[in-house]
Amino acid sequence: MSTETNVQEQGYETFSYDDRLTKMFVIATMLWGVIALFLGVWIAFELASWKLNLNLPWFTFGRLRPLHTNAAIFAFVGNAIFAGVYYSTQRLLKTRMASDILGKIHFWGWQLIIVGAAVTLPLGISSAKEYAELEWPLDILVALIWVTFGVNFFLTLKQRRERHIYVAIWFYIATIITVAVLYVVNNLALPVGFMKSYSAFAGVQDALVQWWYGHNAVAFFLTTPFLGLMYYYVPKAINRPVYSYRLSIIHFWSLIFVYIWAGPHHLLYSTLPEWVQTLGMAFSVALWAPSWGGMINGLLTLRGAWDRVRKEPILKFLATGVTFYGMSTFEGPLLSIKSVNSLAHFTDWIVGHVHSGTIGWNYMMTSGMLYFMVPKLWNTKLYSNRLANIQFWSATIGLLLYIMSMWTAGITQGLMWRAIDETGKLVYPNFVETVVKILPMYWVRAFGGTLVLFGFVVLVYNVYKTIKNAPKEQQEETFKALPLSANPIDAHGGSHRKLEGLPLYFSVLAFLAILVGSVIELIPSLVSNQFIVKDSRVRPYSALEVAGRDVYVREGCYTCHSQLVRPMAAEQLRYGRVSEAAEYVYDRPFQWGSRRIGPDLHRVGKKYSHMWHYRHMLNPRDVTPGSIMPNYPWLYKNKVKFGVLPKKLSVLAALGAPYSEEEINRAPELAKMQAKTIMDELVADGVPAKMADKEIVALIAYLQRLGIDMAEDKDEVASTK
Amino acid sequence: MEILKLLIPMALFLGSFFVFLFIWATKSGQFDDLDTPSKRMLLDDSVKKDNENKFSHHERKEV
Amino acid sequence: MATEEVQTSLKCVHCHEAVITPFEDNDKNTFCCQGCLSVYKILNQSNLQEFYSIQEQTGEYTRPLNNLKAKDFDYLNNEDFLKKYAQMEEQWSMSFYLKGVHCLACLWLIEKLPELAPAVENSRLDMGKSLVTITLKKGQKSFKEAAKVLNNLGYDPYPISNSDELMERQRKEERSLLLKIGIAGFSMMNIMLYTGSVYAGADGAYMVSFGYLSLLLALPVVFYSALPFYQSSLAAIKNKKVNIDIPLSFAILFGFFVSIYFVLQHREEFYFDSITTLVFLILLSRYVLKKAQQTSLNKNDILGIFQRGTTLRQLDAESERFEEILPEQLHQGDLIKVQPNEVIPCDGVIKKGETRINLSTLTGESEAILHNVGSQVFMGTVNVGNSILIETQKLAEQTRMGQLLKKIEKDNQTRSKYSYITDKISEYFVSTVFLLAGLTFSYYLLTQGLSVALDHTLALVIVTCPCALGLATPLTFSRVMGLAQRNGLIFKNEEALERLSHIEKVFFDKTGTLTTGNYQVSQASLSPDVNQEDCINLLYSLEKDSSHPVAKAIVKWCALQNLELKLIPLADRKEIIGRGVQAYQEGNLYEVTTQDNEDGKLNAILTKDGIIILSLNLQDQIREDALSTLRSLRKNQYETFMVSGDKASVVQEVSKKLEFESDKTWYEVSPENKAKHVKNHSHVLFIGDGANDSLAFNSAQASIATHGSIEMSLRISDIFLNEDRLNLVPYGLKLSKLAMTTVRTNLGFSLFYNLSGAALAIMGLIGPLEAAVLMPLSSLTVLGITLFNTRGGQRGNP
Repeated sequence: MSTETNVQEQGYETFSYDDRLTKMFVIATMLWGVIALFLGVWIAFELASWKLNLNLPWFTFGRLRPLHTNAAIFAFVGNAIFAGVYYSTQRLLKTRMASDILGKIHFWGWQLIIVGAAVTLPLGISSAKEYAELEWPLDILVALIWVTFGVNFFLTLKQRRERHIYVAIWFYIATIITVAVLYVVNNLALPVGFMKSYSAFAGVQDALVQWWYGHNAVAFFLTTPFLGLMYYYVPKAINRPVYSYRLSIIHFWSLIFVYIWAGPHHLLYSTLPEWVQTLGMAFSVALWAPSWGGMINGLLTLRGAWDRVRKEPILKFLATGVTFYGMSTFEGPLLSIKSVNSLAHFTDWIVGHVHSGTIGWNYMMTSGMLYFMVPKLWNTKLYSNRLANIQFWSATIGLLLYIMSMWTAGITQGLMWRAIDETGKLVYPNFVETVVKILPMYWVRAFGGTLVLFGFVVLVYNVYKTIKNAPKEQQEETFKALPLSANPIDAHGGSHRKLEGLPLYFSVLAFLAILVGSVIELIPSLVSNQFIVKDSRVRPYSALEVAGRDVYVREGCYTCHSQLVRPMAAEQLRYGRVSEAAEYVYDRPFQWGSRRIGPDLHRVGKKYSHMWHYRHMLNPRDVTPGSIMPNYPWLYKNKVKFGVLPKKLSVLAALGAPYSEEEINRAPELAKMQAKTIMDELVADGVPAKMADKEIVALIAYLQRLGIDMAEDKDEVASTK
Repeated sequence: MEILKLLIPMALFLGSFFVFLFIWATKSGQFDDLDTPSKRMLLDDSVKKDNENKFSHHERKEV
Repeated sequence: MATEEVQTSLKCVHCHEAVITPFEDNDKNTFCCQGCLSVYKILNQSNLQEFYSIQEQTGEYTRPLNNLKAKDFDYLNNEDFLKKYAQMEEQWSMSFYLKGVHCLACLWLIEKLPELAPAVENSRLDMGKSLVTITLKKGQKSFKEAAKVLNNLGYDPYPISNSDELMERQRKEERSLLLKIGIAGFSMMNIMLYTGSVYAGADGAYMVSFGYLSLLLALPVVFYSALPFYQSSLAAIKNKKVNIDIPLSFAILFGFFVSIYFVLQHREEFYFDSITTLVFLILLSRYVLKKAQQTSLNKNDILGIFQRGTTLRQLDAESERFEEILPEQLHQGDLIKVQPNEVIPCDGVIKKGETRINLSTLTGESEAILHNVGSQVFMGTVNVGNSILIETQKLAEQTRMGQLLKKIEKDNQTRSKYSYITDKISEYFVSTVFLLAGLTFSYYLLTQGLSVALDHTLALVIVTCPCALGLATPLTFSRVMGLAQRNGLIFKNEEALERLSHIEKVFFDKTGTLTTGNYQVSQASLSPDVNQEDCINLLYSLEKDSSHPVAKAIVKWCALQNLELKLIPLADRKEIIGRGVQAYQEGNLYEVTTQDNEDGKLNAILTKDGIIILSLNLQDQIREDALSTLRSLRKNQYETFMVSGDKASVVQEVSKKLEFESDKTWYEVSPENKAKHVKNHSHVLFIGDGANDSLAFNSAQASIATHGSIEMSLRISDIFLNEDRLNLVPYGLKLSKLAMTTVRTNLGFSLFYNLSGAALAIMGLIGPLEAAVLMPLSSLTVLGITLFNTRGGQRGNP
């Protein structure tokens, strides 16, 4: 670090920023961005035409969809956040990051996690909790790396040379703290094997924890850091102060105080108690205000300079990003209103909302940020503005195609599901009719996705050329700033402060004492969960059924099928009795799912014969012509691992499932016996006997068990051919 | 819905942590001056820029 | 095309203003003034040219520095000054108020101070208050160097004492209020979560646990955030007054303990959400009110005029050495030197030197009076002659001017009758509310049991807090007066504003009000065999330093004769008040004398040894905006009159020009019968020159003093025109009407709101939560109406 002598004796401290780390994260962002977007396009095409699943286990939609979501959220957006945060924090606090080593550990650790996910998820190693599918070893690694990032960040905060903490830094602080808590709580699980674990919570509890995390992952991982980036990059790009700094402070604190609570709107009309749902709805609608506060503040910063926005690509991306943030945070509260939700839940409309947020807000802001940062980091000019404009238009058109097609598909499917003719019968009883109807929309969506991917590839090419033309010898630019004076801020606090402080500290301490007390008292009672509402008829899954459920989890069937019949006439006609909370008591993790590309499965138990399932899994089109479900030939080759069943049952027992000692020890034997009974029926229909130990049998056992526990004897299971 | 017994304390704990942050921020004068920070963030003093400046002004005059 | 455009509108390199008389530096850069040139040189030497690139990037430019005066700031080093102004911890720090800071480049430059003043460790600027806080390095003790650098850069720093309790108290108050609002906000939002669940149907064990959680969250609000309400109600009760915080505190505590009672009984009627919403919204409206009032009227503007400058104090009796100190540091018996055109900082007696002092700030006459050794001198007057030595006798508050200002300050407090009405109403209101609460509680207790009784009473008490009433009138007055002050109209007090709104007739005094009051040469006749040029140069050198209005008119006339004015050396020049000026040049006596001739004009004669060589006629000039003001007044149905002590011919001529009806102009009127004229009309506004119209001012309903001194005229007139623009009169009338309508609408609205709210609460149609939202909403609407009506903006268009 070259120190200028005359600058030194004027009391300045010279330092330089750790931009090497930012550059590494920028490159990682682009690399993983392409992969995540490519995966998205690929699985979109897989939905449009099922043959693209190529009958290979690590290629089917069930396994690639979780990889796409994790790659897009944690790899693409994750790296973009870290690049943006490292770049802006050092400049706002006028100091280098506290330690370069922690920075490196953070970078390489994060890339290791991504590679881990890229390996485990296609192999079906997934905890089947949406957006947190990584198995427990990777979860621990994520927690550790996140802590290193937090430690490095807060140490830098302590040695800052600018007393005022700019609002963007507050957003980063909120992100680090909340995501740490959320991620740990949601991934609490008891490991069974190296890459297998069962969630600490079950059924409805697990649902609420998952969606408390799910929404807040979106809130605190995809929105809060990007709001911070907006408050830094928009003023810097337009070189004018933010519209109203006071509003941004209000926006932050109002968002943080109550943001943590919007989870339940994902579970409307589920078996969640009524008041929790109403609460979730009310609070999601309330969250509309702070979000739009942020958007208005961002857009108004550009007022008076819209001609520059028209010309400069960076501003175009940032302005579009902020606008889409406004749109998706308007669509969110709208979707969480119960009546709208009853139509939209489980349909493609939700997918449209998600992508108007992720592509509209995160992708656009990241692109704008990259175009702003790369020339500055490599001390050169952007290779070509024309390419940036090409990316902008292709990505925007692609995004609009995506959203429009999903809206149309979502509303069409929603209306077809609930259509009842005057005689009280379903207008479209056969589910596949509703799927075939919206296939063209899947093609439009896939095409839109390709445009977005193409745009990003153009960005990568543009940035690559920029870096190539950059001057070779890059010495770190030195900066100078004045140290913070040693004076305490409130040098002359009078007696007034003592009197003032007393009631404040008293009431806050009382508050904390009670809180800590309640947490200590509650956690044990919770884990032992003897309060869970029980229904005598609901029995835990048998050993074979557990093996079958693990296949269901491994293949990611929840990505297309839901297991929740909602209390609506059309759903009861189509699927059967409304699901009740008690039925999910032993589901670890809960498999309600969030999308119905295929029909709901919660009442599929004993609805079709074993043979139906046997032929369906081999080639769905045999039994339901027009189905877009991929084939699962490997289920007929892989053997069930009976050996590990006792371990699985003992872990489930530890988590509260009432297995008897005998059931646990003789698990493999019992499982084989149950498999034999199923095989007897299949053999009668011409299936070779040697299939008894294959995974298909276990899966059939699990599917036939779904939702039959509480069936009263009188209404025998409605079975339609 | 026993899970609430975990979620509520967790939410309250997070909430009160941020209340503490708010108290520290107000006490340490973060909100005293809300006009200048939004402008100050636009300036970054690089030594390189200063040296550059030494000549640029004269060049500009000749051109 | 670009090149000629550069030629014609040459821009100053520093501040990009158009250049009139170009100043060149050795690199051929052009500047608009010497100030800009010197700052440019400083920036170049210490390689801070980035200043100009920031200006170009943001497009904001600094203001021209044409009145840059060098100062040496010695007083910054003296002991007791530092004790009062500086913060002396590990590293010394002090704050300065700077002028003309508004662009990003200034922020950048000011925070670059350490590069220009090595003693400084860092300097932080608060652009909102344009206050810079300078922290010195460890062991450094002097701010002098830093202040000098700031002054050379044209920011004219003025030290603000950190212990200056107004600034400090304001910052402390704001912080603690902000803290209370934040905590109340957090609790309100999270309590809403639990009580919302109970509304949404949570019952049984959940309802009870949510009750306790809400109680838990309400603790900090009731015991910390609501502190200000308890403090102010205790203070009110202590001196047996009733104020609006009493019902408020009662509502909060009553609701709190009632809710605890219900929670203990496992009932679902707990109102923690209502209370916390109430506290949060009222604290918020108080915060907004405080901010609105802060920016409108700060009291010390008028009184601050004398403390701005610095004075020279003689170190010891014989020696000629002086030290520069601030007026506050003067002690009894100090010897101070007052230079020409400086304000006299204290009452005292002249020890050495003879001069003419302009007493207009005190007595109002504009002619400066001769003072010599031993004559009494007063604070606030201006020494226009040569420098004198004064021994201080009385200081600050005890001086004649100090007493005058204290009296004016007291006048300012007199409240308009509307303010009295609102206070009276709110007092009755509070007692009726308590009465009503008692009645409703007992009625419902007997008929429908305790919980309904508590519910309705609480709703009633919350909804009927007269906050709207208490807030509305003071805010309206302070906003309107603030707006007026920003545009140059200083109201003595609220009552003046109110009286102005009832005016129908407007009386104008001629000299000084409708006319500019200073003379202009209308005709000049030169005696034959005299050379015009030396005659004008002679006249110019004679009259140049005299401050007499006639002399000023003559000097202006000489400058207009477009010839190179040369100062001719004169011997023993003497100024005889009332006669004129005389001096000797190469033996002959030159004299300038003035007389009134018959048609109201004035003529000045230059004589050489008694023979007239040049005679000039001077005439009083009508203000350009006089006609437009009179026309707009007549358009708004005001009757306009003119009364003047001047001669008939002059007055008639002016009255014809200004389209007055002949029966509405009087001339050669003595001050006494001016008052008589005013008396036999009603609803009269008298606008006149502060000095000699005090009688007429007292007899009119409202009076505006055009010029003369602020203090002098505010003592006798209601309103003072701080800026020399007559069109402020119609603007003032418009403002007063606006203020009255706003006050009436606010009163009407808050009465209507309170009555209907009380009725709804009693009938049980609204519960405590709706009440808790409705009540602060009413005060916010009242606030909104007021702020909207008085939005006028910074420079309202008069």
